[in-house]
Amino acid sequence: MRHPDLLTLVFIGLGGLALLFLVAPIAGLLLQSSVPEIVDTIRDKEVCGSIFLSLWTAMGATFLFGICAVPLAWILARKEFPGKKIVSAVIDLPLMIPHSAAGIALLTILSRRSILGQAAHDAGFSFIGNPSGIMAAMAFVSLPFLINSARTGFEAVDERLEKSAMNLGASSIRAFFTITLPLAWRAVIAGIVLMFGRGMSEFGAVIIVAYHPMTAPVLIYERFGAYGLRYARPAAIVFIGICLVAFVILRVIAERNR
Amino acid sequence: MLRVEGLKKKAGAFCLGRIDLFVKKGEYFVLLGPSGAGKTLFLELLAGFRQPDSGKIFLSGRRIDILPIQKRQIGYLCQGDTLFPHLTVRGNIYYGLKIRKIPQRQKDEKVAEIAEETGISHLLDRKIDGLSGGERQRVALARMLVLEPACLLLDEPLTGMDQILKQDILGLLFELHSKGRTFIHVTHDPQEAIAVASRLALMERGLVTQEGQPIELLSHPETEFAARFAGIRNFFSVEVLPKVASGYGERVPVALSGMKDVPLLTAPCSLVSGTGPMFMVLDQGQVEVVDAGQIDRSGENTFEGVVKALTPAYRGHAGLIVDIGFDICASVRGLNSFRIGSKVLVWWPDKAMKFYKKAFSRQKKVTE
Repeated sequence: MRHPDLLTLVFIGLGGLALLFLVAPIAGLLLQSSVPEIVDTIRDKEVCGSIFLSLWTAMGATFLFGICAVPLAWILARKEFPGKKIVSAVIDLPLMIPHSAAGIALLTILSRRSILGQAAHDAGFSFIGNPSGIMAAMAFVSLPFLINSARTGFEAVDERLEKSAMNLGASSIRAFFTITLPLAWRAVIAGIVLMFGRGMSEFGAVIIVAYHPMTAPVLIYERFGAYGLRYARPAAIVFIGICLVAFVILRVIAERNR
Repeated sequence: MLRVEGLKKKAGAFCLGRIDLFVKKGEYFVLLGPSGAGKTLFLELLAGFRQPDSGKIFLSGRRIDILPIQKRQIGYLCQGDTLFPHLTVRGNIYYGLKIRKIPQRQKDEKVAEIAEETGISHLLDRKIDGLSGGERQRVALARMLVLEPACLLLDEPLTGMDQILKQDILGLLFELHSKGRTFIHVTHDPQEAIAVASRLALMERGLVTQEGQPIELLSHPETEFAARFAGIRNFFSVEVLPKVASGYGERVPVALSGMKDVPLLTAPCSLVSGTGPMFMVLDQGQVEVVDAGQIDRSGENTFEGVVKALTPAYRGHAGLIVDIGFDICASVRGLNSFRIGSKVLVWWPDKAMKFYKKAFSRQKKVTE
């Protein structure tokens, strides 16, 4: 085998440090916890309930808001309109602002004092302290991932393919569902996985909109605050494990759909 | 069949039109023009991929520029194929048929028939990725033709193919056309155009500058591009002036249009009919060039000049460009002692000149 050149060696060294930085805390978490501790945590109904809540609210947020986000991504990829750059900047905004600030911002439209919150209250329901509020908080901070990924995917599909489909008699809707979406599918799925993952692990915005019912990140924080590191650690391990399993499953589905 | 009236479209700094054109049913119409002439834009307007700024398009008497892409009945084979990569060959050909409300058995028959005609029956279950350039083009043609469009637009269908493959696809196009289909084929390659065209139009800088039978265009070019395409190097727009009693005898003076301070040429009256603007082509093979001082010669159309450029000898003949106030191309046997900057004497016999009047009326419409 040929000796790697200097550049490759330097990059392997630097890249290895970055990788170590990512792996070390998780490895530390695993090494410092015992198996009985983790088994007990899995049996803890409160932990299981919070993880389940995190999973289904993240899925719900991804599904509900994805229905609107994917068409928006297509519009941004295909159409030119005044203010397009501003719209793009607004989409990226949740990536820049502190998530606690995002939660506060959400309160202004979801609390009982807002029109939406009041309407919900009149219908006998509240966003605050409710899974629907959790979904809103998750979606607010994670939507940019889906929109940007899907947009890149749509941009990579030659527009002439859509036009050719229409030239063969397909309606624009049919062309989208039979040509554009299948060809951009990988990017859309990648966006869905990212949005789901980001939503599931959201803490800052969720804790402001809904401390209860507790999602897994809020529960881990609460255990850390109330009982210390020893009690928070097993819950964190279980949650990380569940996240990994969920990601692997989604990736496998995405690969199958290729 | 297809009639285009006053079509115009502005796309950035480029302006297409105005274009007026008529393509007959069953015709193999070729639009020839250099890159950037607006050929693809024109086809996109016909197919409905873009909307014109003004003008009308009629197909079989029906106005189609106001119809959506799906309803135009015009098949458009884009440059570089647009086969759907996630479908098989069969899936691609079926794509348009699926939308049509015809019995499944009839669809199957149509696919089998067109696959046979385009020679891709053995490829039907293959994926698009594994196909060669020629096979892809055949599939793209089959996908279009299975829908029986009233008119098929072909945008540079032979681009990127080697010579053998080009011959192959040209043969197929010719065969498909011989069954009564109407084709509009766009290309920048004169040889390709001549090979298939039953009628030809030249497009330059967004305008159709000449149109007619290929043989007509070759013998009577009306623009620099058309002359180049016909292999004519000495092409001039001239003004045949009224005969002046003294000095010219039975000859008329000829001035080069748009050029100042250039010598007047003369032509025998028998060679030109009437006066006014005309085109003149000068056979470069009959232009004589000798070193100045080698012989002493005077007479009609004899000029002193300077060699401006030399081209290497091919089959014993070399090309010279001589500046005699304007540039004249000459084909000489061997380069002898000619060098760039050599002073030379240039002349040509009367029979080397051909004069004809502008016949293509579109020019007038364009400038309206």
